[in-house]
Amino acid sequence: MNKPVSLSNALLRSVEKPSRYVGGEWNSVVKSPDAAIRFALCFPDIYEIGMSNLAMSILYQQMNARDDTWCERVFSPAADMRKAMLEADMPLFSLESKTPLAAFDLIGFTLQYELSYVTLLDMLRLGRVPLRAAERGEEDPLVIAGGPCAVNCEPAADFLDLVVVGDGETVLPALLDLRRQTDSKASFLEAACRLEGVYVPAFYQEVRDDSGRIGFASKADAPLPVRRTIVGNLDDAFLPLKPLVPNQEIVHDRMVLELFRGCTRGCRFCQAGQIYRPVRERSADVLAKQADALLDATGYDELGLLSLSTSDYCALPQLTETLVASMSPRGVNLSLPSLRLDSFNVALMEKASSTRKAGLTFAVEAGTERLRRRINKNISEADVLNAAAIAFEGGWRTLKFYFMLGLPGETDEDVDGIADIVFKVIDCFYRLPPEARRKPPSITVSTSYFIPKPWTPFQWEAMLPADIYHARRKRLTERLRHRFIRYNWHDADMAVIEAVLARGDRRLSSVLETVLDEGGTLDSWREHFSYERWSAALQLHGLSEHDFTREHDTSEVLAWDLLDPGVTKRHLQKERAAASAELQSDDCMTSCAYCGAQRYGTGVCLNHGI
Amino acid sequence: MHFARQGSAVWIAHLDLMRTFERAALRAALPVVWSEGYNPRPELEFALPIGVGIEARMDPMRIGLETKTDDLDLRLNAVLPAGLSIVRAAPLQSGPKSLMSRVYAAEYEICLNGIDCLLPVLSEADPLVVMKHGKRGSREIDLRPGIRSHRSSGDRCLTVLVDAGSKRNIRPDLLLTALSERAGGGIDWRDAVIVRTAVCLD
Repeated sequence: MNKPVSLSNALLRSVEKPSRYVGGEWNSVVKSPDAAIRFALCFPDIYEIGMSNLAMSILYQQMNARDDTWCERVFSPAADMRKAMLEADMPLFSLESKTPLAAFDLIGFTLQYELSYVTLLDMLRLGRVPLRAAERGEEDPLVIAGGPCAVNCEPAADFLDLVVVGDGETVLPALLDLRRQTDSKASFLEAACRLEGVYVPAFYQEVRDDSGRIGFASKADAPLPVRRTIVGNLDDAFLPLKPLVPNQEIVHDRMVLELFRGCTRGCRFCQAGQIYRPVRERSADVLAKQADALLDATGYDELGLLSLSTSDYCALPQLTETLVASMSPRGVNLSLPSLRLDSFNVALMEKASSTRKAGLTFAVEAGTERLRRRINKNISEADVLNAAAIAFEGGWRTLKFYFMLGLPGETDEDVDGIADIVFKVIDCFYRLPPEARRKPPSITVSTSYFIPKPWTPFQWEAMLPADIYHARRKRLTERLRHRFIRYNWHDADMAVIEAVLARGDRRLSSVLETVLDEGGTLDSWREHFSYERWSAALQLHGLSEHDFTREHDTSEVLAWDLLDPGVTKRHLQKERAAASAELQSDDCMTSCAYCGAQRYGTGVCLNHGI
Repeated sequence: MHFARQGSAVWIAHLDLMRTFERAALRAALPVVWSEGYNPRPELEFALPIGVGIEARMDPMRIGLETKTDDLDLRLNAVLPAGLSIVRAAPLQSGPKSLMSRVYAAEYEICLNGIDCLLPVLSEADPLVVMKHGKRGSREIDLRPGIRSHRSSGDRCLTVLVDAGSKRNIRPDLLLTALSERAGGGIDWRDAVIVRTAVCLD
């Protein structure tokens, strides 16, 4: 059963994009099947999505740099391939050696979004790996996971032997060493749970009484709470220089430089802004050298700068100057996402992409100054309008605006504020001289449905009921009617299920299993998502959406309180109070709020003498 | 020059294959000529698009270089992904016509268990009609006039020479669909190994 699968021509000719399933990409790694550790690095979504993920790329290269380990990739098959595999009785396999998932020593999933949990289960089942950790024996693979969802992956906890909380590249080498040094799963897990950033779900248990969850207990001396592990200095961390170059288009089809981890801004709705603290930058000369090496190793014609807020990178002017000088002569375009728009950055963008004028994106998030203060998104209407004016003058005509609906404290006035600001942007266009107005602007407004996430100041908030969300969305639709404006919104049903999973606990494991049994997988895809399936599964297990979307009391023990990501609950409560008082908080660059992340003694915290 | 493809590279779609060669040329730091215009690309020309799932033994292609470059094949072969290789580096005779417009025929070798039952159909003279699904809807076409010659080429293999290029292009998948339908449908051609053994240029 552990022999490589063979993919017949007939099978590959019957599916869309067979190149998703055959491997053989430039920089893919093929080693001897006798490697001491066979690791299946899995992404619970299809090839194009998983191949675009930087964490996958880093871990693939880092693990394959070891002589004793062969790390291979496994993605979810698309629906047509999945059906063909089931008909052919073919197990899910790795791209490099076509080895069935069940034959690996370790299976590692990255959990980037909550709606991928069921896909993880589907991949295990397709790979013929028993779903629950408790059902797996000594001969079965160890199933581990990491990624942003690790800060509360309780709904999936029963399926995982081990979860890495924090930066994977710090602890993964130690885990691989340990796996070789231990002769049973039990001894591996007992030793592993002592490493910073390692959470072994089986060693923890909720303590409940009639009122619900009142605490946690740990076994085998496992630390409680589990501390998040971080890369202290990005310049010392593993630097990925040989990324895979796919043989087909993927979502983010370019070289990537990771400028920094974390974000100093402290927007109160944003989970990434809290769980990756403190900000740690990679130095500009390391990045410039990395760019040269990446180009030699990939031949890509586009280089992307990646971070949560690119304009906050301290040496951005110097770095872009260097990169434009070294990349442009070799035909490489620089793409600069997440830029705050001011005249300086617009000039920078013109320089970076002299040939293309792609769209500009404005993440304004809320329609009024009041609500923006409340969520600590410290951008003023004047900032937005100035940037729009500069963009129009610079020749840009495609502008995108992101807002959220359902933020705590939102009123109809805030909804109307979204339309106001967009129409003021259109006024900016009409202030251009007539000859510059020949090409009309294309303005896309997108609203998402606010989801309270763990480890944010809004983690206790109620999610706005779907009927009120729909009413506000309709109100906005009526106000955004204009020939220059296209309005997109997120569906409520997917957001509600994402909210349930985000603040979910272990009771949801049975729900995930039921959704899988009822045919669920690839739920982050509109065409595969079924609200009815989720709703019925929750009901079957005596649960309701409301159990998870309701307002949580600050005195409650939360499902994720057994972790410690750095930022403290005390800080989050303080921030929540500041939100209610509509007060802004400082950026980490300006002053230190002692959020808890200072205990790592690195990054931006060092600016404040910590 | 000429390239070959086999193994996993067989499943690369034509546009992706262009991109794959472009990236390889940049990895090899070749002095490529960039196209003019809004979105410059390295100048690269394939004689005849190749369908997904079809191997190539010696497909003509051209890459525009600013300066004469030695060891072109060695330099590219060192950076091409598994299954792709340059098999002949000698530059193609260049003329006023594009490579694509010079193509008039292509030869395919098709290997499949039970392929013998298709041979009689190939020898018939009446129209060999198949539905072609394209961007502008579906229509019936007769493949017969495009079949130049055929022969059995060893155990369970046959070789066909068919029209190719802009005037009339016979795709091997359509040919096999038509042949297996006519032969009674008892054969699943999708298991066939299809190799383009030659592309003929005038």
